[in-house]
Amino acid sequence: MTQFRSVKLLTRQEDRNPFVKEHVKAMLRKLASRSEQPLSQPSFRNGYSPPDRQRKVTSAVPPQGEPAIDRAVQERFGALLRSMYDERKAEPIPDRLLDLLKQLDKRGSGRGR
Amino acid sequence: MTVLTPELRDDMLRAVSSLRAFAISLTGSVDQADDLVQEALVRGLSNLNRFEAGTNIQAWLFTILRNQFHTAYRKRRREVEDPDGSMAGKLCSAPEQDGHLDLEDLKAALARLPFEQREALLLVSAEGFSYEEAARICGTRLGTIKSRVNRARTHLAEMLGIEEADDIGADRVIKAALHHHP
Repeated sequence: MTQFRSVKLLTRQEDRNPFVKEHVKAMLRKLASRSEQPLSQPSFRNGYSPPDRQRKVTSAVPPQGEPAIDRAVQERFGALLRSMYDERKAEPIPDRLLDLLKQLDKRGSGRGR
Repeated sequence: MTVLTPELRDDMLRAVSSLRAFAISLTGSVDQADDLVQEALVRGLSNLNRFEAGTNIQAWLFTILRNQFHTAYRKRRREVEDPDGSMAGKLCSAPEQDGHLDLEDLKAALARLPFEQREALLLVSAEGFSYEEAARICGTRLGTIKSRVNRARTHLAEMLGIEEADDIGADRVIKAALHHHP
């Protein structure tokens, strides 16, 4: 129990000190191997990225002063988002929209050329 | 005055499935999405005189739909900006650390993004609009859109517990997705 509390305390300091963060990670790994209780990874929510990731960052369009995520991760996200989109595009169009589209279809063929 | 030519009509019909996918992803609700699409089409048709012939009618319809959504949403939205990701962070719950990430995880995480980041990411990464087009649709500057897309990706990665591409790559859903989009 005291162990958990100290991890929590250290997690708060992680953004300021990368060495503390490494220490926290190591402690979490140690605890996770001992305990059944799932432990979440400390995240880098406040804009801090650890040195080993900073080197890998290659954004297609790096906005000024903001950390960008790994290019390969961006591409995988893109593929995932497009597959979610394709799934939604394939969903049947409801009747009320189809009715509207029929009107649009009629209107279009009545005009134009 | 722009006349609804058969070409324009076909472009509008073709845009419907994309508009729906965008609206569903934006609102998280099929019913709400269909309301938005229906209204966007009706408004588009009745304001066709404002459409500049020769420009992209799909982007124009997206603009109408997006503006409707914002008008409706502004009433109940409390937070405009989420500069340090506190909103996404508060709601954070990483999926099981077993190397599997599926579409349901992504949808749940997407719904937790601040909506300005969500719409920017959807327009650029899912729909494939250029940053310039997305900026025009959202009525904002290019730099703002780039920043929002970047922050959206960073937030998603955090929420889903992703640090490396391999964290996503292990899943078969992604392999299927990559197969469809080489």
